[in-house]
Order: sequence, then structure tokens, then C-alpha cells
Amino acid sequence: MITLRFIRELRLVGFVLLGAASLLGQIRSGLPAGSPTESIPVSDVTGPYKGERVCYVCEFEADPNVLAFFRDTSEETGKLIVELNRLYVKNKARNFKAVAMIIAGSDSKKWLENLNRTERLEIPLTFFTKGPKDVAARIYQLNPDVQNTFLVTVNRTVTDNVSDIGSGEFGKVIDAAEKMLAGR
Amino acid sequence: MKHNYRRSRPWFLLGLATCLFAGTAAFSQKPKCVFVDGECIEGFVYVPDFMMPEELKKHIEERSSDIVIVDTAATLIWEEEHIPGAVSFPYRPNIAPPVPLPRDKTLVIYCACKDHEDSSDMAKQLSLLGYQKVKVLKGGWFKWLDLGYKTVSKTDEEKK
Repeated sequence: MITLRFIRELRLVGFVLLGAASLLGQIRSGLPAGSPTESIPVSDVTGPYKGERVCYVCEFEADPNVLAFFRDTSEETGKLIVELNRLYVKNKARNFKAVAMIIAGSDSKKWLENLNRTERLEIPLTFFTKGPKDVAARIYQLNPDVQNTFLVTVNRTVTDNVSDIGSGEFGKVIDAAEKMLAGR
Repeated sequence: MKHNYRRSRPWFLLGLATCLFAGTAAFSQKPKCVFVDGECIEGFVYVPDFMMPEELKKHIEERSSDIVIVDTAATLIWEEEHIPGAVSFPYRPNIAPPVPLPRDKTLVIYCACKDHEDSSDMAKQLSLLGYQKVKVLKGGWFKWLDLGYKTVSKTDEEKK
């Protein structure tokens, strides 16, 4: 016979499972909020250090910024980079910074140059020097099955993580960045 | 003569409020100095003391026991490649004691940042914690690579 106590316990288990599922669903890739951001040298394609290896995490120092990681080059990646650039242009007066990093590696160089030319982007476009095997992918806990990861950071600490979104969902990154900028 | 407490109460309260306000104002003022090794130093501006890569190379070749090389990169990066003998001590914006680095040796700190951002900040933080012999490797990791100086992995060092 099902007792009232049993139903209550079942409800509790259900809540715990739901909580765990929602947590798992929120962060699919990348460092969680509160993590420190380590320096990672990447190959610069269009930024002030183009042709060199540079660490934009160091360059940004304590300034508010978005570190955007993209699995590979695609039309969707292009749209998201344009959105990220728009967010940067809107907030650059507030010391806000942004960088786009393509995990796929050097094969993305031409694509990034073309995107920069056609869209006249202001944010630096870069790629992982050693491609998907680059140690940066492990340091930043990037999930190989996830297309993109946006880490909203300030004072070298992640404040928000938005991952695996489509270009129609970029509002999530905007909201997280606005929240961070408002809290300064 | 009998003292009129009712008449003097407003003055007492006014005096108390003034004392409280003055006390709060005094505590809310920012300290005008920075504590360096327990001493309050006014107008403290940290200027890093650099060591040239050539000098560090000489120390390594001479197997100098007076220096400790400190790599501020993430431990995974240090495991892949670092300056021979360097210890891993990843950069943090706020270093919390206890610091596992010796105080009686010269610390030579390096990073992969263009303008020594991480190594300079770490050197500053360590100086504030009382480390007196702290140097920053001029040009950092990339200058070391450009000069073609030797690097090793964690596995290389374990084989020795």
C-alpha cells in the first residue's frame, strides 16, 4: 500500500533528480562560474598581434570580457562572431573586451580572414595553435561535442557560462554580459 | 542646585551622534599606504625587477642553487613544456598564503603574456607577502622560445 510518507519521499527524490538534470543541462561545456581563467596562448589572425602567438586572457587583465570558443567554422559560427562583435562595439567604452577562438586550428585561418574582411570586425579572431588537441581545450574544459562556449569573465574569473547556442539565442550572452557589467 | 537632565539630553545625543559620525568617517577612509612585509609604505608603486633570458640560461647551465624558476602557466601547459627546472605555480589574481615557494632564494617568474602581465602581477603579490628576491624574466616564455633556448616537458624531467 502506498503511504503518504512514501509519496513524500518520492517527491523529494524527484526534486533532487530534476535539480541535477537542470544543472547538467545548464553547463554543457567550459569552466563554470567562479573558476579562475588561466593564460592560454592562441594564434592571432586579425588582432593587433596577427601572425603571432598571444594570450588574450592576459591582455584583457581584469577588464570585463567574453572569451568565445567555437568548435569549427560554419555559417552559424560566423553569425555568432558578428553578434559578439556587435556586443563589443556597444560596450567598448565600458572597457569591455571580446575574443573569438576557433578550436579547429590553422585550417580556419583563411575563413577568419574572409569573415573579418566582409564583416569589418573589431574583435580579434584567433585559432588554437595545435587544433582540438591543444592543451587550452582541456584547461578550459571544452566539450568536443559542443559547437560553442561563451565565458563571461571579469577580474580573471568566470561569472557566467553560456554554451551550445544558435545565433538566435545570442541574447543569453548579451544578458550575462550586461549582468556582469552592471555588477561592477 | 538640582541638575536638569531633560534639558541636557539633546546636547548629549548630539554629542554622541557627532562622535559616531566622526568615528565612522575615520574608519571609512581608504588607507594611504600599502603593507609590504608588515610595514606601511605610502605611495607604493611596484616596479618589476627584470632578469634577462641570457642571465637565466647561465644560471641553469651553472646549475645555480640560488634561484627558483617559477612558471605561471596552467599546470597542464607546464607539463607539456617549460624552462628546465621551472616549478609550476599557476597565476591567480589573489595569491592566498601559505605560498609553497622559498623565501631565501631568488624567484625568477615568467609567463606567456606580451607585457609580462601575469608574471609582473605575481611578482608584485609575492613582494607584498614579504618575498624580497623576486625577478621577472624579460620577454617571458615567447622570448625564451625565440632565442631557441632549451625547453623540457614534465616527462623529460622525470626520466632524468
